[in-house]
Amino acid sequence: MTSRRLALTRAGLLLTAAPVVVLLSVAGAITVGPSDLSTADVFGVVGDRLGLGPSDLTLIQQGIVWDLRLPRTLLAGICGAGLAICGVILQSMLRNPLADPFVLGISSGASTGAVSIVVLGVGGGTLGLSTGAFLGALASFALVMVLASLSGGTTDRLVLAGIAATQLFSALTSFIVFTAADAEQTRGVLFWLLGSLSAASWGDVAVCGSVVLAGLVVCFSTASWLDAFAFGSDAAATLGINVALTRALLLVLTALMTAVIVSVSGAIGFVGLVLPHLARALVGVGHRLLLPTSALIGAVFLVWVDTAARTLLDPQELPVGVATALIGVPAFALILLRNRHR
Amino acid sequence: MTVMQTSPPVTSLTPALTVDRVVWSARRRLIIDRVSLTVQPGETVGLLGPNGSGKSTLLRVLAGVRTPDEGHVTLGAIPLASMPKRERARRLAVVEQEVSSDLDLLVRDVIELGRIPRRQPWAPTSAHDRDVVQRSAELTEIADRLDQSYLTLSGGERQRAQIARALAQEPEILLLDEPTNHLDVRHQLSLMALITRMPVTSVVALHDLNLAAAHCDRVFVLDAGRVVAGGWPAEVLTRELIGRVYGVDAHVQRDGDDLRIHFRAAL
Repeated sequence: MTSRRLALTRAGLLLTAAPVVVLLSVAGAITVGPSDLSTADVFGVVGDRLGLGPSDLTLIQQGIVWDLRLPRTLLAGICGAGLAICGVILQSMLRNPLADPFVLGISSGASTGAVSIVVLGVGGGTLGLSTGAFLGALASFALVMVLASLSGGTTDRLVLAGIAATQLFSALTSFIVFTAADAEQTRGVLFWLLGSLSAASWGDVAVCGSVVLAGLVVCFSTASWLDAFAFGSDAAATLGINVALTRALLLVLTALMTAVIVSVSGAIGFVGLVLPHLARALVGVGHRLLLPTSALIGAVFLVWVDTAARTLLDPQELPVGVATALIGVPAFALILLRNRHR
Repeated sequence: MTVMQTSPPVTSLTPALTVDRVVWSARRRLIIDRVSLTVQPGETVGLLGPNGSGKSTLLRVLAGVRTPDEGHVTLGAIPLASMPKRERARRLAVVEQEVSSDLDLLVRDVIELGRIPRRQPWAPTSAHDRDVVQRSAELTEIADRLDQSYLTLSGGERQRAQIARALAQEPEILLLDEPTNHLDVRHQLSLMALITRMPVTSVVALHDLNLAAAHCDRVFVLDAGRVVAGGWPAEVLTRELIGRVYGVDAHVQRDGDDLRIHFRAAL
């Protein structure tokens, strides 16, 4: 009884405390940066924009807070939450603890799309990098789905098709960069490939935020359908779940969320793969708790990692995808070691 | 809701489950060949037959997980095919043979899966859900393991947890696929006693003819996808039938209602 109660209390604490932690993280993260702004200055700008009284900073300084730090921090939180949720869904539905949002080939498709725009000039300047990335992501996902369904439609076929697509699109990306890009373009593309939130805008926050929010709502409202997959899809079917419909709905949803996230942030690894495992260690495997917990942990994690990535090596900036792995892997190793006796 | 034309006359008890000339094939190989049988409410019915005779597949068809190519399965008076999936899962629960999960579920989590067809997907676990989980666990004598990890259970305990999960669905009919597989003799006997004791109609695929004879009200014997015999165990499980279907020379000893089968040699 005690372990159960402990887990429930812990979950309750986590779910009440975590939104506060997310809010505090965002508030804290925007006070950090290379520009010489005090905490009071920063909140003065936010207060100004929210109509709480004017800020006495210069317009450039205000811009740093309102147009650079704040959207970037919010976007980090949104991407972190979204990637973690996608990881939970894919790991549960594909019954594969190694599944993550990129297993469906989405990220490499996105990179090919982005590179086609930036390097090859596809679309003649009418399409932005993120549009290209989004289209590439969807194309790759469509290829994976067609390949998987033609080869039998089972989850292991889906994972194999995803691996094939990942290889193909990575090769295409390298091919384009290798044959057509100049040094400047290569550097820009590489930075994006490694994951970066440095181009975040309020527009990105709006688009990405609404897609991820919609995704969260759908996932939360189907949480126990995901539970039903614990013993495989036949077992789910005997529990009254429409397996084909659930799988299609959730796969398309994760593809859409991942495509939108990748199109604004590049390929940020680690979050979708590892944070669901951390969340399971904290609250157990029931999706009604696991999904919100993963979202909150993902948001807090990426907010702080991105803050570290943009400040630690000042004036250089580290691609956030590099930072997630550098900071995340040792943290994860610690958790693994602590839980080895469970 | 359409009532089947072949539904029995109103004077007789409506069967819990009616299987009417069901055919199912995979890759053009006939696995289930015009199987018909009925199960009365409260009965424990054994499905017998050698490996590959179609027992598991027939159970999957009964569960609605496989759709028959021809024929009908009727639950009470309602055709299974026209029943919504959730409704089906409330009336009919399945215990599959050796299921596994990579997730570290608690026994309680496993049993609670049975509540999924009985609540909205976003609804939290209610006090009633917890009650049903507790009662199911008590009935299957696994209540002291509720907060233990499912992975740490023995084979027999896992089977009991799965049966408790099935009971938590509060079904009218329970379908079990070789639930005694890999269990030692004691656990085989206690599990069969549990299944017959439970207040639901059960259809059990079994390998062990003596277990079937001792615990089933009626048995059906499948051979190459067809029902070759059906009825009281004592009248079905004859030396002649065992020889023909299983290819084994057996000595069948009858002592009142008690049936004992000794296997001598493969034919």
